[in-house]
Amino acid sequence: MLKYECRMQNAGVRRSREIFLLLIAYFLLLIVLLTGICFPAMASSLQDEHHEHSEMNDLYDREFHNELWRLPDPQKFIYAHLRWVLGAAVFLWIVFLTTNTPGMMRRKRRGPR
Amino acid sequence: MNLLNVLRIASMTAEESLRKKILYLILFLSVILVALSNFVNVFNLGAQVRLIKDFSLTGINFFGLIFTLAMYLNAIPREIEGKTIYPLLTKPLSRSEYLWGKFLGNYFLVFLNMAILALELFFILKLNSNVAYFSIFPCVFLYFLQCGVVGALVLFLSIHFSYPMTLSLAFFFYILGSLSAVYIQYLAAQTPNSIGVLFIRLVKDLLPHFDYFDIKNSVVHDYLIDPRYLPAATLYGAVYTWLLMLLGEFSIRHKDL
Amino acid sequence: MPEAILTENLKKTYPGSGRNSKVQALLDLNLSVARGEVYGFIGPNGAGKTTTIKLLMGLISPSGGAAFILGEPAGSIRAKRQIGYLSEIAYYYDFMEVGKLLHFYGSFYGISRHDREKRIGEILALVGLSGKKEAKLRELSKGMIQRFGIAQALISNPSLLVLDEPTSGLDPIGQKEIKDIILRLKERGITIFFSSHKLTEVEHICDTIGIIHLGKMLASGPLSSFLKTDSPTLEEAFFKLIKEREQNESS
Repeated sequence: MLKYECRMQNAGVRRSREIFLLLIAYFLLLIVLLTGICFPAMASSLQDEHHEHSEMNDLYDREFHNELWRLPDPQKFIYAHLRWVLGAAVFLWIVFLTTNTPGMMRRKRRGPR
Repeated sequence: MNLLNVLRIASMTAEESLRKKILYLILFLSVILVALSNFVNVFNLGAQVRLIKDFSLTGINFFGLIFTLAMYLNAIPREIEGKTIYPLLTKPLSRSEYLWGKFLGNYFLVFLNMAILALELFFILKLNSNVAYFSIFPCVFLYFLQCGVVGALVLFLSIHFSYPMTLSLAFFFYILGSLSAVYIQYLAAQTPNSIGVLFIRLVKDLLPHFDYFDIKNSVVHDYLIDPRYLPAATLYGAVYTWLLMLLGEFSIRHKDL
Repeated sequence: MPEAILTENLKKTYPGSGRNSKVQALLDLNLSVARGEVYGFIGPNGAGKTTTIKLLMGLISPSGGAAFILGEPAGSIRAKRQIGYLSEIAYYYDFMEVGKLLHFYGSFYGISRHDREKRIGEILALVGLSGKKEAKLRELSKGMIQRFGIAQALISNPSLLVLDEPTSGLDPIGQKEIKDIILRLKERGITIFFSSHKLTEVEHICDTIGIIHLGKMLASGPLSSFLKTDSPTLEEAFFKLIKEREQNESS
């Protein structure tokens, strides 16, 4: 196959794969956002209907509506996630340092020609 | 890693990026937006100051992200398509040094952009209220860190994907990553089955938590910020940037040019 | 002393697209270039010349086999310190001045600014761009840019110069200028490895020839070994070999 044709075909296949991945990504985003919209509506309608005050509704009222501007506790949120991120970064760094680069082929000891 | 090589690439990158007209357009629009808040004069002084802070800090955040995207989206793909990368990578320069140089060169310009806007806001507030609101600087600093995380993410994605795909994925990840931790906790609590909880937690935990970089509401309402918060968020931003850059290093190392 | 270039069963396979099978760009390529010689790497379009050179420069990764530059693994920093490279399609930062860009490229070799300044003067004289040091690259003609390309390849005083189709796209005057530069470098004893599909040019410059076709080395040796009574020119020898290969493949 000519180099040019190969490159053009590869570009076309890459583009269609990207569109497919993009569609999946936006579908997932839609699911996450819809759950965020639907659940509060459902929760409040359930509450009105059954006059229930669950613990989680209190959490929603207190922490989401009234104290939106309250910053997350650094210990509870930031450092908790940072532990995992730092662990992943250190692990990746060690793997990076210990694996070969593409140019690093095994050196062969050869005598003078 | 040779830091001098990184600085050389960073310097060349900054010099090349300064020639992009779009950056001056974004800077101009953001300066105008911040200045506009000064001319809305319908509230009493206390509310006026809060309005200026809220409006301007939102604008600084928004335009900072736009500026970051404009810098990083095409930083590497353009060099590969344009083949200007060949004379560089055939010199004694590793791909990691090249990647870090591209990141730092553009990050310096992001810093300049946000510094200009922060100083502009500071003087506007001083003009309006005769008070020096130094609290805006930590807020803008955290936005700057956020831009670093977004920049590293975009750089990593741009090695694999085309321009529109990188832009879309970056937007997607930013939206998801900006959902607040409390909101996610609420979602997790409301979801009836464990797979749903696992999915939501996985999505949130794999992505950077961009909400940690937003202290705007505390600054606008002059709430006291926990002194532990700023160092924690700074460390978080730095480590996440490092992680994303490592992923970028892995990707570019194995990429056929 | 190790060879300037040595490849052992070098392979490169490009992934296919859709239903098409993978493309075998190189298959068990064994190449050996001695120090001090001018090696002409020739073959038809799509034979694998540029792929081989990109593998030697570490721009792409091999699918198998090994390649060494002056005893160092191809693509390693140590190998790159000793090579100067001119790519087939070369683009540079055209907003920069010639001298400034040469300083930039030279800085990666750890050469002091003073030594670089001196070296740049010498190289620009060698490639005939002495009066263009302050000119921006976008102001130069194609031939001048190609000569600049050779200049940036020579900035570190390399032991090995790798040129990928150095006269590609140039008019006859430009081609002669490049050829003269290569001959001047040959006199200095630099090992030169260059790919071309212009056989007359190769015949005038090279000591040793390697012919590649469909990813495999067809023949390699001194130029004189190709020139026989029944094929007195390189062109005739080249076509004869290609034809024989194609006949063998079809049978």
